[in-house]
Amino acid sequence: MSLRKDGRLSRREALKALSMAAAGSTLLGPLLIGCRQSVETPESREKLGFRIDPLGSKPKFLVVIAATGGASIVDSFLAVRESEGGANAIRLNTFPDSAVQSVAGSRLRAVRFMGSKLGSIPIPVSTDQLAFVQKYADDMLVATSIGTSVNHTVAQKRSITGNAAWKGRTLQECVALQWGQGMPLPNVNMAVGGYGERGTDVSLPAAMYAETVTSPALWPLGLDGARGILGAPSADIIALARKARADLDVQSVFGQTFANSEAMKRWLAQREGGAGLEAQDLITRLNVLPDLPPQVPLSQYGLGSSPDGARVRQVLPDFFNDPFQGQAALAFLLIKYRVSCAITIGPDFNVKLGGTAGLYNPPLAFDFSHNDHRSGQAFMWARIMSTVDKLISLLKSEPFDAATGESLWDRTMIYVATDFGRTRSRPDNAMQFGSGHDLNNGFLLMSPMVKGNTILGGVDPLTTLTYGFDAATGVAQPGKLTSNEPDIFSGVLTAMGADLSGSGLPDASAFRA
Amino acid sequence: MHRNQLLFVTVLALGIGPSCADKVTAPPDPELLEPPSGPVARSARGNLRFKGPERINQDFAAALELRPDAVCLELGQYSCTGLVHNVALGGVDPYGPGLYESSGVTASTTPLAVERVAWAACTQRVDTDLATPAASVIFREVPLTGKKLASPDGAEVRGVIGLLTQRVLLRNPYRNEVERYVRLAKDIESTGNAEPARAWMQAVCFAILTSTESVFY
Repeated sequence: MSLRKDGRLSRREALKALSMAAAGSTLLGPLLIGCRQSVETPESREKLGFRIDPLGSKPKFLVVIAATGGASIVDSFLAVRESEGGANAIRLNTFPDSAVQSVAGSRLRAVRFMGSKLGSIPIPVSTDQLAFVQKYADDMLVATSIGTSVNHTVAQKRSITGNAAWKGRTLQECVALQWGQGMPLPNVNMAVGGYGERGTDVSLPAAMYAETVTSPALWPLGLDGARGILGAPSADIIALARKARADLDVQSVFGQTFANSEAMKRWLAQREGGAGLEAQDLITRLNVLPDLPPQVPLSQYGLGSSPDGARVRQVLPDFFNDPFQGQAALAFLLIKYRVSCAITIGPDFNVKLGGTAGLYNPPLAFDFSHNDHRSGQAFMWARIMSTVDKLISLLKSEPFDAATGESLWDRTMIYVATDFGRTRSRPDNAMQFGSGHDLNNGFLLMSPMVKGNTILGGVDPLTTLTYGFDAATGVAQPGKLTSNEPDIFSGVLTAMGADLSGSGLPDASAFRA
Repeated sequence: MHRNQLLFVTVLALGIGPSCADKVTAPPDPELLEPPSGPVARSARGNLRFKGPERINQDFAAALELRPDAVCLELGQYSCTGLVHNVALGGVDPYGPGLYESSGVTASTTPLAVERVAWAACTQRVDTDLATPAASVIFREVPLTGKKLASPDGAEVRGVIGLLTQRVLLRNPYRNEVERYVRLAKDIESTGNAEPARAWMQAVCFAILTSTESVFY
């Protein structure tokens, strides 16, 4: 291209210049945008709203099931038959062939167990995982895992942070940040030990950290400042008293002296937010308890049971005596009333007597495997599956969006987190033996949002150890025995469709439906 | 009787005598503190601590002369600070869920839990004081006209505000605090509440108990 003698472009040259400019902008545009994105920090992107769904977007829900004590994946969906185990089968944790059942059209397996006692506890254990796997195989994904700790509390926490995969945030905090911004209590945690701990990213809004609940049946009583207190004044008087207090708190010497205190700022914001909880009548809506004087004299105190109370009690009849069922009942109501989008529940380490078997929870939950591995795992897996099944049935029965026909279950992810796996050795042919802690294991994810009927990775039947997989493609990688905690963490969020830009998390597309 | 014994008995009689014959009187008009005229120096560290369930329960009980185990019971039987709202108030629960240490920060539901404890405590104190004036502890000798305060800005009302402030915050009230709580009494009367005096007593007790100065240290 050259200028004419008068210094002006010819028509052809002008068109050529314009087309080159257009092409240049097309090529350079993404490059420049990429440059801008590369200098943006996750914090700056959060402020721009990249990780926050626009208002009115549909929420999604995460239920973390804390399978406390070490739920072994080779005692459930990846169980190995003796006939597959070669010469070492008699001294590894393999099952009689008849105890490991296949499900048509699936690689997922189910274990049947019958024993006359649970370790040293004289109660028979008879469990069968087949019905559960048959019912939910299409919504189940099992991902093999290698952890980095066999300390209960440390491993529990790493199972929900991916070993600090994303600035130390927990999965629940990530989900709360993504979908819980408008919810009253986005993150409610009823689990124990490391499952109940906060993440280490202190930059999140205060409401994103978990609200700890230790008594699910009675906790809703604290969701109103005065209702249920006999003789407390009416709402208009309460409002006047609060107003006077607020006026003086700001004016007081104490208030002015500590005006810059983080604790004070947080407190005043939380106090303001309390009115929002009251306005939603959560003291009633989340209350599973029936009016049952003299133990539960609700009406005598001007209180009532949740409109869903009878239905929830019917599905989870032991909600008051079995803490795990009580947690599941509250989890359903928290989701139904859009109070929370991240809920953590799970059995604790304590023995809990009751129920038809005489025992809800053995001492140490899954860690009872130290005493008797096989019956302990069978009992506890049955406990997890039974409660998860009940929770899913409630979620399925509840419409989410009439226009699309979605139920709450269609929007929910259940992540069965656990501490670690168990050691695989046993005395030759022993059916009753104890096990220790082992980094090698796998996790169960359940949701219509996961790639269902899937096993990511696999198990080597000659060692009964699991091996890894490529989280992006899902291709199994026999022999891979390196830690993959960030893959699991990313997989949960990827399957849910969370915005992970700027997180630095690995590509875990293989988890997504 | 030995001379020393006689002296002892005399001293004892003088000491006990007046208290046995003590008549419940209205709290004295408090000596008011003047609010600072200029800006208050800000704490550089701002290291405030929330009191937590045990301290709150004990402090409320001591201030209102209630039995610590009866300050607040949900549904009349479940301890608010010891059980139902223990963790929401920053407590621990090592034997149940293995919660060995508090998170160290207040939770979203903490302010509501504090309010429940305060309403339960204040309603008890007001009910008891009104039912048995001769043994009243705080709301004593407050002149009423029917169910109303006879004089919302009278000395007796100011005395109650002063006494509550002294018992809860361990200091005399500032002038603006007294004025605000007197205004609260008038505001409550204007709502048409059937028992405005009782409602004011509960409300002023609640406001002082749940003030930031009361629940932090």
